[in-house]
Amino acid sequence: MSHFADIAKQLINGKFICEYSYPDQYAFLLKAGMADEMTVYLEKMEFTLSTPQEGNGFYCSYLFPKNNQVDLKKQFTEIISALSPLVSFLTLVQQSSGDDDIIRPGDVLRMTEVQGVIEDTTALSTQLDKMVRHSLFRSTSPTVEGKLKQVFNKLIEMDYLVSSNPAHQIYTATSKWSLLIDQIRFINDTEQLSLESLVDETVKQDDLYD
Amino acid sequence: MTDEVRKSGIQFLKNLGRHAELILDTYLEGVVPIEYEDNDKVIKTLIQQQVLWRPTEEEGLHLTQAVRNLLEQGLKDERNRQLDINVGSAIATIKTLIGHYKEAQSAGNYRDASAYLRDIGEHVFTLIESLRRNVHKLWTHINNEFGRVGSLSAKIRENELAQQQVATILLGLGMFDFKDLAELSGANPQLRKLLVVNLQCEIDQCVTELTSAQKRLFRMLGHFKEIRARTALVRGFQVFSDAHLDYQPPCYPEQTNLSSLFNVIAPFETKALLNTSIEDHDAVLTQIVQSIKIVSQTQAESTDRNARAVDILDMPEIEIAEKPETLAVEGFLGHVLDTRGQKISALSYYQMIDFVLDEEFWLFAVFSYMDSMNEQESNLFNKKLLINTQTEFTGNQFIEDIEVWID
Repeated sequence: MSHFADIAKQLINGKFICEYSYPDQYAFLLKAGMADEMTVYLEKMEFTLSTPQEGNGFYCSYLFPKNNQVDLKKQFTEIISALSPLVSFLTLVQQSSGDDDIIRPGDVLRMTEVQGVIEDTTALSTQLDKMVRHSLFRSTSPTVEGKLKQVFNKLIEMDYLVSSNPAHQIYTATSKWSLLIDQIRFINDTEQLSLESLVDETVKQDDLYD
Repeated sequence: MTDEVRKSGIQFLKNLGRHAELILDTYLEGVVPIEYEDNDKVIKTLIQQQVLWRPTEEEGLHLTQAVRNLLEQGLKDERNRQLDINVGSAIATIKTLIGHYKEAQSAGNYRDASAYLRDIGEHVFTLIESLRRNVHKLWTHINNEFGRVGSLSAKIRENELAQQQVATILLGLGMFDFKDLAELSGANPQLRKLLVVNLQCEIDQCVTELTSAQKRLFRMLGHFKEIRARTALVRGFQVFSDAHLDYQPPCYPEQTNLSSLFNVIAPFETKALLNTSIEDHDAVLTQIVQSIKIVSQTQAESTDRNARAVDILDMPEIEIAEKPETLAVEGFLGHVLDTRGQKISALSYYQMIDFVLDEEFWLFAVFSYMDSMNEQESNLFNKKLLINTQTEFTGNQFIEDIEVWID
């Protein structure tokens, strides 16, 4: 299956290949010299191979961005508009699990567990409602389960999650989340948004109400 | 002297045992619980024995550190998380005692010398025990990632404190000059064993362990801080985008040097096209072409497929033409009824009518008609099949005739 041409096609089709999303393909690309070979191949078609900063995945970029402005602008708009609902998903899962950390590649998510906590927590179900009003996760389902299913399915489609055990609704996070974090960090640094300090300030405000 | 010490020691321990509940409840609550406060006499004794003490007038009664440490250690309590870092003073004490010992020995005061030696031993072993305990505690913290404290910030603070303490202990241990100790112990085999063999080995090992613990702590702190930064970034973004619903960063693709983070291709669906110039594929392609069926009727243009209203009242009447054999069989059964149910065979009726088809077909028509009659009708007529069995070859049975009558 892990055939060079098949992997090239997947990359050109915008797939994100990592240890969790496409393990066989990822292992193939990790073989000595294979990523270089793929880069050479893609460059013939004016594409190139990119990875997130952690180097834990592969995706396809344009070799000459200037020549693909129209497509890139379209993609950029999509990326930017998806940031907010995706971040919302990250904090939703973090809050429902009570973890210090947000989702990392390879983390296992049990939809029923997330669902249970959201059903018991008004703030979280409000957050979920807000998420499914966004065009990315649009769902009109009246139940938490229906909304979550829509969100999870969309995230699978976008290569952020893989369904590791469909019968028990167990999912694994892919390394594409690293790319998302990198993108947010880039915006934060470039636009000098000081996002980290916003949280401290909100914490302080919360403290005042205690 | 020893007897007296022994006696009062036993009494002290018994006293602790007698008031075990008070002591343990105090340990758990931090101060002596209210229900014990009336017990003046007991409390007074415990204060005298330095089990309890009152830090200030306003404060409640606390356990003294020695008792608390004893309980923490005995209960393997996680609260016992601070390291004993006072290595420097232990070394100073040991050095002082060595001075005493040497002096006593050179003065020929062997009784004092042996008491000092015992004392030195005690201090050396206490130090060793304390170091081992520190190392153990440190690894416990590391292994459960400071699980005792809840928040990430608390973990970071605990980690920083532990790092500071390890640094202090290592600094203290660095004060051990083993050349100095070797010189101090001189040719004295007992001192040499204590200071050089026991202590030096132990300290070497301790330094190794602490150094690797320090590395782990450092890495863990980095990890904690990375988690904190990552979480703060994500949560910060959420706060920010909630406050700025229409926020759009400048369009990076329009700028020079686009970061690869935003250089993500638009999915490019590859469509398969045939290359008819490859001769090798001729056979396969011909086969595919052959299998294509041309459907000339295009669905889109066909208005026949649209739904239409049907008026069932407006339907033209149609005559359902009965088949001749059916009519003939009905005539046959009518004849049975007309003759008041007299038994008649199908073939004899066949002779009476002008039926165009052959006998076999006639029999089949009668048989199938009667077989398909409803229950009421078939109860009315009796039927007997006259069967001839072909015995010579196959054993097949042939219906020769059918008799019908009404009882």
